Amino acid sequence: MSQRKTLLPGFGLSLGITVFTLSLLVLIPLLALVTKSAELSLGGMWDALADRRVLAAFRVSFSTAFAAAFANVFLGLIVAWVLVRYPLPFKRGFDALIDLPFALPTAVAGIVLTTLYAPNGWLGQFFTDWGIRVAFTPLGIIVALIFIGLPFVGRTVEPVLQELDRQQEEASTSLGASRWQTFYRVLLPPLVPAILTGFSLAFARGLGEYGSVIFIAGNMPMRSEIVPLLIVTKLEQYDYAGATVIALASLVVAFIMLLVVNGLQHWTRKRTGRD
Amino acid sequence: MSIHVNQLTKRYGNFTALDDISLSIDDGELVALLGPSGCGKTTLLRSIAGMEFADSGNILLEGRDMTFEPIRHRQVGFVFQHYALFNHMSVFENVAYGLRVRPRAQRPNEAAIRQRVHELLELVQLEWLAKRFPPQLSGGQRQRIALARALAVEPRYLLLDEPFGALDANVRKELRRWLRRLHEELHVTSLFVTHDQEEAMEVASRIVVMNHGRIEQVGTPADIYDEPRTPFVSSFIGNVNVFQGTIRSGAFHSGSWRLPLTDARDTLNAAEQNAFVRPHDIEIVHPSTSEWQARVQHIQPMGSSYHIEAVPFADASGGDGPQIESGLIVIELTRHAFKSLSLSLGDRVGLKIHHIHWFQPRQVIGKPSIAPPVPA
Amino acid sequence: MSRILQPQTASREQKAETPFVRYLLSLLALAIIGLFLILPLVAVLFEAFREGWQAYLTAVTDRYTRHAILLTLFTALICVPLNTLFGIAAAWCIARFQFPGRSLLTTLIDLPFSVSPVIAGLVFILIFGAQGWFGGWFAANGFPVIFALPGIVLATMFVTLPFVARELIPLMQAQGAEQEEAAIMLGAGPWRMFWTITLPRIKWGLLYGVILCNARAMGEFGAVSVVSGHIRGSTNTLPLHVEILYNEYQFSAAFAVATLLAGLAIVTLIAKSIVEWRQQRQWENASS
Repeated sequence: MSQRKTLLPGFGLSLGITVFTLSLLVLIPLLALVTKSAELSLGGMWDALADRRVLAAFRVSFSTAFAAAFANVFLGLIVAWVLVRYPLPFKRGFDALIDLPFALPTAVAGIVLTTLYAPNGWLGQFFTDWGIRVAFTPLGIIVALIFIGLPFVGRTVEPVLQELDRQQEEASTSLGASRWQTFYRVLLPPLVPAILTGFSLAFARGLGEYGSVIFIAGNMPMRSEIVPLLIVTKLEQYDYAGATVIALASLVVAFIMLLVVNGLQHWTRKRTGRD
Repeated sequence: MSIHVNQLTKRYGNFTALDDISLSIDDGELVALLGPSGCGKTTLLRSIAGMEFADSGNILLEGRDMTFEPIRHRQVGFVFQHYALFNHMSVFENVAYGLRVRPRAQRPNEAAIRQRVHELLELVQLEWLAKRFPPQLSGGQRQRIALARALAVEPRYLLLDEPFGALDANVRKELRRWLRRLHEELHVTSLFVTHDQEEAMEVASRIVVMNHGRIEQVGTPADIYDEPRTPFVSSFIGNVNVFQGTIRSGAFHSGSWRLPLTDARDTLNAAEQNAFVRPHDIEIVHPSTSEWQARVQHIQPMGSSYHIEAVPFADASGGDGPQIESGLIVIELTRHAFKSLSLSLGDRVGLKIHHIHWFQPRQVIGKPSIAPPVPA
Repeated sequence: MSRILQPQTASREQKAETPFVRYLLSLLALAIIGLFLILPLVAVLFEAFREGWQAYLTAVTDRYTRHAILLTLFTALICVPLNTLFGIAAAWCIARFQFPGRSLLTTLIDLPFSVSPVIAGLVFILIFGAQGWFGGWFAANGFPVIFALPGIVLATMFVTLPFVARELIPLMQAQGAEQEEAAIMLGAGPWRMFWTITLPRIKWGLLYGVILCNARAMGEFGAVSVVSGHIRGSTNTLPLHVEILYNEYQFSAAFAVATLLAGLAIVTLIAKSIVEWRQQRQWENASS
């Protein structure tokens, strides 16, 4: 590192602590993941991944995480919109409550959602009447992931919504646009980058989520078994190499997804001229 | 408490912030570093303060090389552009800070600190604000508190970065005068950065004009204004009309205009020359008494003076008018002169030039001249 | 993260959407909050007391529960201060200095957020597990890492690493370096500058990060679950204890212990709101 002499003290010390901690906790462990995977030959890696159960787990994880993040775009947008724009009793309390999924340990979320959506649970019984099973099916996974990801879209959209220029809205109305046209053409475009950010955060979290899902999922191989659970299962069978390869693959895929979404976001920002 | 800067150079990547700067400041002077933004003036100030470190060259304070000395050995008081007051401390604690952080052996006792802070607050006439917090103060008050805080450590040098930059016009004027008086009282060697030539002229005893990381000229305000050494200085300090032309056979030719030169020295430079003429160095005379004639296009009252914009006439032979960058000649008249002329729009007037600075056109603006230009 | 909502002028809103749309949206929002956020909290309490006070107290004061509480507190007590130190150091070098690799460092700090907690646990097994790089050596020297406290601490530190740094970096960037430079110019030494200028200016942002870090440290399940080995009375943290009870069909006991964690979440949300309000003012001061 080429360090320029500067007035402020502590560069070496703070950088030292930062790099040391990151190396110890993040870099070396991730390196271990890569080297352990490399113990398998390419063919071995392929065999480990091309297994039907593994592929099914990836399919379940991706589809449920995507569905939940997609649902959260609408749920988060509605909640943020109402909390920012409409008068509401206990508004401050509700606003604080939005972060509950961040603060509530996932194991608690998992058992309580399972209880609520079980076939004879408070909410599950209504679904049972319609012949829908929520808990112990992929639908249950989506419910858990919606809960976990709920704050992401709301929290990223909220500040942007607050800072929107009211005059643009008024200008749009004065030019004869209907309320829906104003929303769709004037208000929504600047929110898109925030929505995409929230979506990608919720999606990434959904892919990796473990605690809240395993209780409600039912964990049936091929049907409702998620990737993180499969990793744990392999570990419990002392199949370290198999677990590692799956972990590495899911990590790589998650990074690619994040890169794509970041690129998309960058592109949207450029197009709408926002930073 | 002199400051000597020797051949200081500083680069940020490809950008040269300071290009071989040498400068001497005597004990007790009040000097302005003047130039457009990005000219390197703030970098120079921060280098002298020890907040930036140059790539080459050195800085001597009182003859001692301080280039690599830590801040605390420099005894420099620094006033930041945005004051950098500690918002979470009262005004009193802000001013006391420099005393409280001294090593235990040199730290004054509580009573002495109290005494010193009150003296300083009295000096800046803000004693009544001691218990307030910086966010509660006006811009001018913050500025003065920042100055009191810098003075608390009894610096041998006072450095100020755009001290009036963030203030309203009228507060600014008042504080300028106040700073000058304060300097007369304290006599601390002081250096301040500004991009406002009026401010530099009004406050400083000497001005250092900078552009593109170089020093263009150093001199008293009068020197700089009356004897600019480069086209840049001439046009940066006050308004100027630039006539492009050549000197041939004892006269200056610009387009079809011809100006006989009486001073023998002017004819020495028998080459392409640009004539820099200040608006107040042009006199309006009766058209019959001057070959240079123009039509009044716009009259702008400026309060104490009037600015006349005039379009030059081609001469009788029908040639082009003079070559001027703007196509207009700006003349500044005193109120008195304007009234006695009783000008109106469209009037044909004669122009008489009183003072010219000559610069060769090849001198790209911003580079110092190679041959010293000769004043008319 | 959220900042405090500004009070909106009601008059303009009323012109914005038709009352029907407004009520519909408000109702929808309340339904979402009620169904997804309030109902689960209520259900936790309800299930915890389903078998009465006595059963609740028995579950909460059980020997293994007490041990789990202590282990959770102890883990947080190690992880939170260490991550606070890391967060301050990282924010200081990233927000105050320019150096090659700075943006890479920022990305690395955020990395644990995009890694599944399960993988966070797995990597430490690969290093310290029985067949890991150093596992054999550590175990042979009487200092097992995996299925023991050190593993739990490492996994928890990994997942909570970004919290403090992420709060401080933007705050310190917005504040700028001028006040710290001023302190140095006035003769303050590094520690003096830190304690009198830097720390007072970032304290609310720091506290905010610490609160979030603590909530996650006490509530982490996935990463800890992988490395702990679920040894009752030894390596069982509170969230793991909830899982074990639940899987043993001791539902009431599981929910009773879960109320402790839900209480922690509520306290966290309240503390966070208070700090947010104070921090809002700090941000405003940063720009003045």
